[in-house]
Amino acid sequence: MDEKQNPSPAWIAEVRRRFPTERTIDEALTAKLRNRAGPPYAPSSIAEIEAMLRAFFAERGADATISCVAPLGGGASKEQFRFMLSTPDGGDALHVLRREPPESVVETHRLREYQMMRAMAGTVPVPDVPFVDAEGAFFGRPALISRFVSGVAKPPGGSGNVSGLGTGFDAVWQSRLGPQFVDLLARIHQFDWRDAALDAFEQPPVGTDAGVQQVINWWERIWEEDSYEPLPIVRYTAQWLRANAPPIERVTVVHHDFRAGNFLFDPHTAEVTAVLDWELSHLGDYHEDIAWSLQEGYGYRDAEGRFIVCGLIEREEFLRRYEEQSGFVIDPRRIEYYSIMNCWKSVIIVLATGIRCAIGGKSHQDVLLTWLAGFGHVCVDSLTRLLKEAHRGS
Amino acid sequence: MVPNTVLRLAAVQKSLEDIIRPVLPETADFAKEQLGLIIKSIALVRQQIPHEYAVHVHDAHAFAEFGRELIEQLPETSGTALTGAIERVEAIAPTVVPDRLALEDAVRALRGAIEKVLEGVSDPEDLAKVGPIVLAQTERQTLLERLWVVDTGFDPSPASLPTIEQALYSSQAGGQQ
Repeated sequence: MDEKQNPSPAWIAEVRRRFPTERTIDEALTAKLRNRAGPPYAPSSIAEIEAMLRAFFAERGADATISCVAPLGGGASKEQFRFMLSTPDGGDALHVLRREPPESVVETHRLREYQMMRAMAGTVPVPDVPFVDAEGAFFGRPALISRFVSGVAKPPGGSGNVSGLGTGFDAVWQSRLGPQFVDLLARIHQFDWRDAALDAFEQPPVGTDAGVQQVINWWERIWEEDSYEPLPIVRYTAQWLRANAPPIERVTVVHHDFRAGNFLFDPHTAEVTAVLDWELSHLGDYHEDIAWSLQEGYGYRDAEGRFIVCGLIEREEFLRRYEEQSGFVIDPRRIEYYSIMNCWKSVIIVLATGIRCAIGGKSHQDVLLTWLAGFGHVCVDSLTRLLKEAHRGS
Repeated sequence: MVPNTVLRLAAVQKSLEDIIRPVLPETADFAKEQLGLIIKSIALVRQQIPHEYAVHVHDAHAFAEFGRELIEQLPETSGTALTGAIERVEAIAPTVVPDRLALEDAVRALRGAIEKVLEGVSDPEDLAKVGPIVLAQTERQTLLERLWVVDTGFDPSPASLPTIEQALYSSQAGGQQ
């Protein structure tokens, strides 16, 4: 009997005790466990979504009309619907409803995403998020509503696998997008978050590894909750990460999934129009973000053997430009550490949570989540190699 | 192996039911009929897969026994092609087929027990001792896992992988080469 598929209150209490993490992260993960024995994902009809939107705006006293509701493709994590919101003053604006499925490949808190996107507006281009239903009172499950932003995630006519994984940009697109990609990351990290409305987030202490240990707890808890097939290297890596955690010297916003596929750009001007997918963002060490973008699975090696970060910019140029734009020094030891941590997290996302969703039939993307297992095993291979290199270096 | 084939098919079936079927036009009778058959076929295959190998082994023994009964009644057929065919089947077919679901459960429990041991290793010296074993085993195991899903297109060096025959059968006496 797989206890994780129908966790008892005592089991949930024990996992919360063993892996203490941020309050809102704990809330999201605990809600996931409490709902796990519930029904699988069932699609809502367009008429149902439209009715929910009407009820939502009526409650806010907005004399608004909803039309043109349609599902949007893409995104492995949340259901997305585009709709037109029309107000009596003649204003028409396309919006996007982003709703949680019963479980998704990453279980996150809508309030965190909402607060971070609002905080980052003006620093980097983000979709305006005027509305949140953090408890799912109107949409059945927690949801966000943002303004629709035009743009594409990959070049017109481009090929590739799942968006962002193996996405290919040719030399022209690299020259147009690569520098912007680095500059946006630098701006995210330079953002002064201390006066921002981010009360859903906890601030890790400077000069200690406490914040890093909390991140390890966050992800090891997810492995404990979601994994179906035990993978010894995941536990070993958790212990290795705990033993080698570096102190955080400067606390910044960490986007956590900054890569190709998670930003939109104008296909005519190549200007980045929006940085997306803030749901895993947190406060931590900027090296965590840099190492995430540097992951092997998101880029490729060119004919000269140079690594092209996210298919956009050569690695050394990425690092040089980042330091120049941010004014922050990149510590290679920390990059090595966070590369291992990020690879470990990718394994957990794909081979634990993604598979657990599919077992319960919990998301609209179960078939994609089982497909992504191919990426998960590549990540395990990368993790093994990175740990071997770390052993040799220590 | 996650996801196993049964789970993968369950996800495909659910996507066909939840996402594709509702958007088929009302007038697309043939497509709707085909989709219905596809969904039923997938459901059938999901039930069959865990037992398919056992059915093959059952057939091996059932027909070997049948052949021997025939030879007993028709002694002149002994030593002919029929005898050779029976012997070939009996040389390949195992005498007992493990219960696949029980085997999966037992292997999962074993992997879990190994994880539990590693979860308790926090002393740096102990970590250094077990590290090479964990990494070497993971490397061997991941080779098979990568191979199993190589056609998803994510592997950066698919040409470096062995074939499924090399990975699973080449070290077994009498196995496929």
